[in-house]
Amino acid sequence: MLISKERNIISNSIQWTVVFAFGLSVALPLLYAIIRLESVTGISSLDSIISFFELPEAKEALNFTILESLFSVSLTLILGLPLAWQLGRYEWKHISIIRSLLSIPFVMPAIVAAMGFLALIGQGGPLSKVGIDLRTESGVIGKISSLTGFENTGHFIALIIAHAWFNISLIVRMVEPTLSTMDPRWEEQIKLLPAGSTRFGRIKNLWLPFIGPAIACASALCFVFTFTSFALVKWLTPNNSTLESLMAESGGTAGIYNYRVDTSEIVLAICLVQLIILITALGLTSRLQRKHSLRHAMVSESSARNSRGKPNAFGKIIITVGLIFTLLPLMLVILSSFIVRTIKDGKISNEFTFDAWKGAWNGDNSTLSISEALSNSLIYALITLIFSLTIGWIMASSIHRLENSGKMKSAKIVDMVSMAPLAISAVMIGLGILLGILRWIPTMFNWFLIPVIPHILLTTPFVVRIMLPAIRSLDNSFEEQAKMLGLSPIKVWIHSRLSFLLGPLAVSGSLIIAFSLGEFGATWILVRSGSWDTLSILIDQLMGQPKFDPLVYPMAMAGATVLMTLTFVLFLLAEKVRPNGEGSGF
Amino acid sequence: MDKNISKRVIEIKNLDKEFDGNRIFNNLNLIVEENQIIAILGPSGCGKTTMLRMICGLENCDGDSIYFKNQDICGSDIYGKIGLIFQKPILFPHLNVGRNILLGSKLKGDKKSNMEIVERELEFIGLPGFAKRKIESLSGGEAQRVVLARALLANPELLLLDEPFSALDVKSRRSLAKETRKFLKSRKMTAIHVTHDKNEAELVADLVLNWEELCSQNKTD
Repeated sequence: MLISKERNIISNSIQWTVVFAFGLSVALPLLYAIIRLESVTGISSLDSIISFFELPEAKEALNFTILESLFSVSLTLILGLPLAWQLGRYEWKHISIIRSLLSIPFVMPAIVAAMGFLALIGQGGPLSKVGIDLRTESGVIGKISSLTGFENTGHFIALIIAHAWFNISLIVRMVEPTLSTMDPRWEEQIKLLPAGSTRFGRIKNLWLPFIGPAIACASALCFVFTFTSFALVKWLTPNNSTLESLMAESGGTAGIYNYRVDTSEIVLAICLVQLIILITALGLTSRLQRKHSLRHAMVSESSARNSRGKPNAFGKIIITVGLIFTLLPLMLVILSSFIVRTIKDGKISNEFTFDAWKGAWNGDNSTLSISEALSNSLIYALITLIFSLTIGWIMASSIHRLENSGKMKSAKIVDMVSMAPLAISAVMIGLGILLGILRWIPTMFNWFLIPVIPHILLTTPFVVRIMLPAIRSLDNSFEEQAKMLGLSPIKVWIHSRLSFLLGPLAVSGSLIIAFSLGEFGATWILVRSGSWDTLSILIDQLMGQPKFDPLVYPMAMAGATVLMTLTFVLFLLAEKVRPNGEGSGF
Repeated sequence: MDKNISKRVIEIKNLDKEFDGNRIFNNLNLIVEENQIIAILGPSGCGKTTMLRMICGLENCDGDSIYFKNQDICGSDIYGKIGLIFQKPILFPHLNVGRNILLGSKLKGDKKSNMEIVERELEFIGLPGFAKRKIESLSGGEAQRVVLARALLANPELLLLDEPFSALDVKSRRSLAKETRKFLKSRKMTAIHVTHDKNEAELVADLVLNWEELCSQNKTD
């Protein structure tokens, strides 16, 4: 009895220590960064927020961020809802494969997506071949540009399409389960009542109340992701800045006394305003999520699907177009890595060759070769895996333990702490570490593991979200039975806990590695020594070089192909071991 | 026109149904007249529910076999004219009891008049003061009464009851069956009630018919 009590005290202490350490590592760097910026600029945080609109660059960036976010969310809904509807309501052959394919964009590194869309809109790309020139904005796009008076229309369109591509799976995965598990009798019942005798009545009284919260929740998350998007903005709209990209670009010179104080002012103001906007958006998302979770999973997915039958031709066309849209940019990345464009006597010729791959493997035109950058990325990913998995598991267990002992408020607080990094964008976390730690302790600049810190902070929330439902569903009777059989504590733990959590652990592990490999924003800010560049940084470096050498562009695409392939394999692994549940969900 | 024909609410002529090549029933014939409550007695799985779903348009049927007020309704949209009470009470969890009942209202009233309607219906079915209650707080019997109140408010020209009391205990089933008859009669409603419980059928209906009498041939589904 005493032993068990002591064990409980130890495990409680470990859990609380981890929770506090995690909370502090999220909050402290940012807090120190704000203190540093206040000290450099001589402006208090409150004054900085008040004077935000007096900074023309910041004001312009805010307008652009809101505009592109709203357009991106709208387009994501327009493209994603028909897909979710078709997938959720009808009996599809190979539905798990379709779902997996449609989900690929969400796990793809943003830099890969940026490369895919650059290939799509670039000279000689599929869009320019059909007369849509988003890059130089001639033809139809040029006309739209002159009609609206909006500069860089083509780039803006490319950005919102890329954001929609990235977030479609979010809509599909959040709305589809509501549709696929909705009791078909509700639909029948509403049709037979006066309030649902018309199509409008059914939309108003059944569909909107049921899928509305899921759509709103997915839209709010899309808004957050597009609001904090960095790599896509950096590459697709180089002439416009969002709050995130302006903060990242100004961050390098911020926080230094008597040097470029203007950048410190911008970073401080943007950081605080963005924090307020993100906390508001995530608070709204959380409320919508609670509302959404109350209204779905009513009947088994298969029985609901059976009652509606097979999809019609229109549905098949929608899903096919969706799949092509999903896979096209990725295919173009691969293809572009083999094509070298040369200009001879004023004529452009495309040559299919492995030269770019050879160059990328040899490290031509860059500080590192693909293999070296990949090995750096893998080292970061493996360290991230060890820490994130452990921290995430312990935090999920803490939440569950608190819930079980009826301490719901404490459980909620720990849950909020675990989700805190999501309220701070990748760039903000990177800047928090740069300005909050490195500016105070400059010797740490040389520590090669610095980028691992944001990777751990950014991936842990996903581990908690995956592990928590799995831990909640554990059946205590297995533990009791194992104890009654006289097994040692470690064997009890293995047989009653670990064996049931292997699936979620593998899913978490795959996603941690995938996210760490593709992380761009924070790493871009923090990597200071060329020998520790990651693969995503290498791609960015290559793309940033002047294109006098025709191999530079396909070399960047070769790097993106490697990153994409690795992410794809990890995603497939996660999908394979994902515990089978009703509805798709995340 | 024949006086009897004009009073016919539903007429089924030689109705067949098959799923994936399996015949559920064939040659089904039935006539229900205005203000009449018919109970159809048959074993589970004989096709009673399928027949009700065909009448209200939730299930496909071949033309020229189901007539509603002398009009062929196979394949046509008649939602709102025929009501159906399912075996399991279907109440929408995002709405409270009162707002669930109001889904049956054809009129768009203001908040006050809507509340009066709801209270009147709730009083009628013996659940006064339940308007603000959440759906999950209702017992099986209470939920089925709310469904009944909604159906009565909708006042369809024909109400179909698909074993609505089967999930209740024997005592509740008997009392709710008696009350249902009282409610239907007081509103002069026409109804078809299908069940496998003979006592329940006799308590609700003016006329009890056996499924076998309606069909020339039956196969289980």
